[in-house]
Amino acid sequence: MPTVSLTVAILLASTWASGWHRYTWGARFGTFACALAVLGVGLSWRHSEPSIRPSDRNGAAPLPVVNHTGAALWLVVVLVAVVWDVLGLLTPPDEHHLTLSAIELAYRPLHAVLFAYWLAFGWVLAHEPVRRHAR
Amino acid sequence: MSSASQFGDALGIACRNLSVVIGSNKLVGLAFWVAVITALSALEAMAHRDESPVPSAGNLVARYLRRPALRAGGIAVWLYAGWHLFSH
Repeated sequence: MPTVSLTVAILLASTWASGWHRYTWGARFGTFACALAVLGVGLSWRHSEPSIRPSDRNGAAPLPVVNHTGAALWLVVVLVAVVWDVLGLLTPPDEHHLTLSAIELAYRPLHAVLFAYWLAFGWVLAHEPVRRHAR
Repeated sequence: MSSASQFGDALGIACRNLSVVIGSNKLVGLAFWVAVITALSALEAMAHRDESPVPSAGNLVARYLRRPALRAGGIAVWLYAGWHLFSH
């Protein structure tokens, strides 16, 4: 149920954000208010929910096992996107830029989708446990 | 002129020519970014299937950004991306 509430909140915030215009105080305050909210919720959930993972002798949750081939798939997609974005910066001034920033500015639904994904990733960053002594 | 400099110049010209070709149509850019978002969504969906070799974004963060300093750096990059994309 909390996950459903979080998803609904993110979707509502993203719909709201699609009406913002860049370079306005509304966009600045709205963006960082949402960022602070999602980080706060992620951190509070991390500390409040009981750990479902067994702990080691130091009391820290063990690191998840990550398949390197699977991780490489993520890396490939991210690298292709980064290369495309850098390439987009070379677009001549009289052509439409192909960077993510320019495209999402031109298409408001994409702006809303990106904002939702940005908030969701922020929640992951805040919610996943950290380890002070890495293996 | 050194060979490294010549290579850099040639690479720059090639990138610029390619960007002119694909930059002529804004829909090409939209299609590319929709494809990237779809690919990332598909990877996350695959990660939540039983015995999938693909890790979820949460597992990647927990594994590779496990140190507090790295996590703080990740959050800083995330905040910069939000500022750049949505308010700058």
